[in-house]
Amino acid sequence: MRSSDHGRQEILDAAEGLFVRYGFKKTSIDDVARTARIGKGSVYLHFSSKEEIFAEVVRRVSSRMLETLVAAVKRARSPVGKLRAFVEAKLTSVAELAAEYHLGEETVLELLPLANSLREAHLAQEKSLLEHVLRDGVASGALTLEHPDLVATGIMATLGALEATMAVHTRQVADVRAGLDELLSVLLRGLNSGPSSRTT
Amino acid sequence: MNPVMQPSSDVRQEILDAAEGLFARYGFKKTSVDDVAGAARIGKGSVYLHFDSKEDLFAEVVRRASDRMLTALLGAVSRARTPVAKLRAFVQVQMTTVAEIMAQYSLAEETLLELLPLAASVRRGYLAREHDLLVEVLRDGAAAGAFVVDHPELLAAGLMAGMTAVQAHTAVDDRKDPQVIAGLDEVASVLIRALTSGSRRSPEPRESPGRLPRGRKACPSMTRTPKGSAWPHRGGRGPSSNGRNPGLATLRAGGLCEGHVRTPCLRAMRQGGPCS
Repeated sequence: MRSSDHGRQEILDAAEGLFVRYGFKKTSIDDVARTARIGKGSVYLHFSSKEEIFAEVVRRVSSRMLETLVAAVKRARSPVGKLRAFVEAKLTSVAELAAEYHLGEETVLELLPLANSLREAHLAQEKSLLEHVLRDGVASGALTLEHPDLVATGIMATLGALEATMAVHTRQVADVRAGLDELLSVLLRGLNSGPSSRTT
Repeated sequence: MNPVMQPSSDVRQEILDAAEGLFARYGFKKTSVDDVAGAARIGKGSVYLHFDSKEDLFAEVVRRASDRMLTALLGAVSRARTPVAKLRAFVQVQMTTVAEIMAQYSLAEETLLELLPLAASVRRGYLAREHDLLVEVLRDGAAAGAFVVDHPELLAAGLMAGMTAVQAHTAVDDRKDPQVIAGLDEVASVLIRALTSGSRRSPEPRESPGRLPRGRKACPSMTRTPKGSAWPHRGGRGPSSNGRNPGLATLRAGGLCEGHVRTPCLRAMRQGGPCS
């Protein structure tokens, strides 16, 4: 890329703030340029359209989330701990993101479908991380499950759905969280206590 | 058909049927009372004899759909014999009813996203009852020695949050991916294994809800109806449906806006305030 990477980051920072605050439609390239304190033409040196900026913003946020997930899983010691860490990190990062930006319901509903179509690759990576955790757990005898891939798919679908709900209804998060924690505990008990009694 | 000849409650049903179809197809904003009157083949004034406003009409459509959903849940749970089968029945009906409705209407994403928050406040009461029913299933299962549940209330809240979220998500994303469905099913199996594994050892057979699980002795709850139960027979509160489409978008509407949600949108709108 010819243009400085520095300018690119500033454009993305500016755009991220604007998108979460005003949504996609109401944010113009002009707004982004002004906030980043550069000319509109310079924005076009880096990105060909608003859609492209948005896609890059989503990619950046998704990368951060993935890093958080990987780190959380690495820190945890036991397979069950890793699984719990994965779920908790995923739910927490969304809740934090939503709370940090005070996203309006309308904005979330507009941005989520847009973002999700761009997040496929990251979601696939997250899923494979989860599957990895499950398989390792099975290999070490700590977890008992017959279909790690299916369980991973199911957990990802549930978490993805919960993310959406939590992003929209940030204030109710605490309320729902206690219930979800309980659900997770039961789920872990199920994975931890299979018929083969190889439990730790 | 001459509307004048019909008893008033039939007209009311026809207005609701017309409105249900229109809301599902065009969304709330783009549907006018005029449209509803036109589709129901009656005068606009007649609509106002039955409903105060478009908001009122919408609330009733949601209520009717929610009624059907609750009735289906109650029926399925009371038909199932074992605690595990009851739990599975609850989850399955929750998920399939919504999926069926989705298949009937091909809602535009935009329409759906508009309707979800609107329906939330009406759905709240229903979701609370669905939650109570689930708590009861868990408690009864525990009492019968079939489940080990430490916190039925919390677990029910978590399950409801998970299910309603998944419904909304599935609706919005239009994901009918069989892989995802199979995955969710697998998660449900793991949960059931967890609930049943504390007391007795034996994985649940998944194929036959309602039949006696292998290796499990008949427990008392299989024949009895939970005492003090509000659910098995609610006199008169049947499906208000007249054999028509079960309940449109509004049902999945429960989806995004789960029981704990307090979006006072419709109420605010009723009072002439802004929505949110």
